[in-house]
Amino acid sequence: MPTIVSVDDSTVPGEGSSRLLLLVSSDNKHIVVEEDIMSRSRFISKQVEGFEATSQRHAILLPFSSFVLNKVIEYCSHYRGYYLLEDDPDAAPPGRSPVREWDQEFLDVDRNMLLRIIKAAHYLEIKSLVGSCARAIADMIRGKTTEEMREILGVENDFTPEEEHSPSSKCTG
Amino acid sequence: MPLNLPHKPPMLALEGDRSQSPPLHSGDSLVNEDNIASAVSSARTPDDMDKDIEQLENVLRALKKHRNTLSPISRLPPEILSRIFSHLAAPSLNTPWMWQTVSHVCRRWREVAVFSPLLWTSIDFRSAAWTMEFLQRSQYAPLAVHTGDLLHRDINSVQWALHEMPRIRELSLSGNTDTLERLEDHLLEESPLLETLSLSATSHGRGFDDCYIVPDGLLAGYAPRLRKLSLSMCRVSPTLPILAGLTHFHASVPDPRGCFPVSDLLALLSMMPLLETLILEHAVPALETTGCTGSEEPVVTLNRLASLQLNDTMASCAYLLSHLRVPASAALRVICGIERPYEDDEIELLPRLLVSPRIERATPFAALHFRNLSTADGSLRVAGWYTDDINGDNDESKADAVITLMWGDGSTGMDTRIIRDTCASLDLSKLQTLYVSTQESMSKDSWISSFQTSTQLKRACIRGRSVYGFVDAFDASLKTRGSSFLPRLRILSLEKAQFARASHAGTLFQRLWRGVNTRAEIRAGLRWLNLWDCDITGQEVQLLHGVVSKVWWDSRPRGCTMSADEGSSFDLSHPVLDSHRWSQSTRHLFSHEQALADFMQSILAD
Repeated sequence: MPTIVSVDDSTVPGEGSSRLLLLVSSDNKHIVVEEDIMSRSRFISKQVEGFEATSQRHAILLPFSSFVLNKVIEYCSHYRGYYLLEDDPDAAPPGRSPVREWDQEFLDVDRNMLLRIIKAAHYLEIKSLVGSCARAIADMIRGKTTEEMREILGVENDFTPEEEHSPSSKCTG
Repeated sequence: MPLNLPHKPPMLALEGDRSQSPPLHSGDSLVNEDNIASAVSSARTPDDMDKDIEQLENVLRALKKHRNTLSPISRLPPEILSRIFSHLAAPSLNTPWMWQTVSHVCRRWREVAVFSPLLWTSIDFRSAAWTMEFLQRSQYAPLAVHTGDLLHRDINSVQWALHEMPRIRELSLSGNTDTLERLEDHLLEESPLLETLSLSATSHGRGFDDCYIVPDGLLAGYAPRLRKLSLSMCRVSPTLPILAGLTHFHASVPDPRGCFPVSDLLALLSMMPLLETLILEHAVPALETTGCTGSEEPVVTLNRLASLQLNDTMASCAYLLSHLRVPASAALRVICGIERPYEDDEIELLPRLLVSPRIERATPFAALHFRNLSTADGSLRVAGWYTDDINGDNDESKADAVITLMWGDGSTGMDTRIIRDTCASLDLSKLQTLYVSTQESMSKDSWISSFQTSTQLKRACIRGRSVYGFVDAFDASLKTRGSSFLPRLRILSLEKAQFARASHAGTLFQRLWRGVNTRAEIRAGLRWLNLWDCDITGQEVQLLHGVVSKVWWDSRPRGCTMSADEGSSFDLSHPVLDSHRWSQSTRHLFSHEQALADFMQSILAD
């Protein structure tokens, strides 16, 4: 569950043409962002609905660093006002995310950063970003051997010899 | 003496029993030299050591398992991991089933993969065990069942899969009629989730009689989501209730034998008012050239059609088009096979392909502006647009109509006759791009008569034997200044020509030189000349440099053959039928250098 703290009106100037939100990262950086930009996040939208019910403004504390949060905000800013099917809660869930050229460039980051972004996107319920990250991670290991996949993603082989050669595993490739 | 480990194996400790050993801290090591020395002591028996090995292996595995939990990828929730795997599971011709190697990476990945039903929905028929495993692991998820040729499949496995008809979303069966009949019971079941159905009967060359007759009770008449139906050597009755919802229909037969009597096919199409894509390949028996215009059959209206593709004889295509009413916006792709011996009156049908008043455009044939024409290896293709945009995109994939005529190689005289007759049948006054590579020489007169109306042509690529007659026409036509053979030609590529070859009018070089000079004099000169794989000297190229703004030559010395790389790029087996290869073949002509973009701009602005 996110932590929500009350903030002063002076901290979040919310009476402008576009309402503002205060997001606080795990490294305690305060980031002010327009609500419109973050409306792609189901999580943020639900928080904002909660604010409206209580007529109080809050800062939203998020469990990831400002570096990751800024990347997410960059993504949301880029697609501000765009309709993305994956983010439509009323649309049927797409099987696989479409390839978007900008996303490929945006996600051209190191492995750990990519994993942090997908976790943040999952937390914030931004399905389109989750889909793009998933595709990018899949592309990293596509066509690789098991050993290469372990090396790329830093995973150890923890199978027992029996598990490794179990009849069931024969049906998994 | 047992190995004196400093504490219980971490695996056990991790499971909660930490009472007997102090916890390890960062920097502490499980292994030290004393332990190793005592472990390999000669006093220890092999059994002792086996136990130690087993214990150590357990410790190692426990450590790796715990190490995995600290790995960033392992901290992702299972649904995200499953999503990543789903991208790997996307169908790929190059690496089928490669995604399943993820289940060999570690325990968690296997667990996630095995318990993600959506990953197992494309049923594998490589063995009965695999099929069963896929069916079980997919749980209740909608299935994609593509059997490939049933001849190579265990029929029982296919039947197991077909027992799941209520949850099959895509079904594709391909086999001989006997095998399809064995599976027929399953095809009579209701299919509430089915969206795509493809049935293909193996051909034995007996035509009509060899078609698989799809049972009237197909899918018990209940397939509310069925949108795509593909039939190869199969015939269905127009009375099938499932036809009404189709948006995509594809009927094909390997050669012009047909599977549907014409009247049945038209009746069938009349039951598909929602069709958006219609592909018919030899679906009707070949019609005679004469009598193909008979209009006894009713006209079928397909108001939503966006794409119409026909592959048949000229007569059959003309007949079908004359019986279809489709929106003007529908993209038309027609491939007509021309039979031997070639009869002149066959090409006369060409205008009728599009002139049909059934198409919702007042004079569609006249309204089409043919901008591209290419011919090579026994085929000819023209692409037309309804818009008269002289600077428009000539990408054929976006053309309103593309007509391809195919007659194959090796028929003496057919190339020239068909090109000449086709050009005479079409209005080529808006032609902008021309590619010609014929097996036989085309005379100067044929060139002039075929393309004398193409006064807008800007780019031409002429290859091999076609070059000589072309250069003669190029040279001769402007001698009188009144002639207008390709007067706006600005970019010319000549390929695989011998410039020393002489005729009564001089060598090829001399004829080209004259033509280029004459055009330059009347300010209708070439701006770009490309010489590829031509037998020409550097001195001759220098001379051409003097009168053409840009001459590009591959500097190939006489007698030099192309390298393997170049061969793969330019030695086209069928560029006319393959737009990608067409663009490859002409890339040096149209997009060889960045500078060409500016150059093209200057031409277009001219």
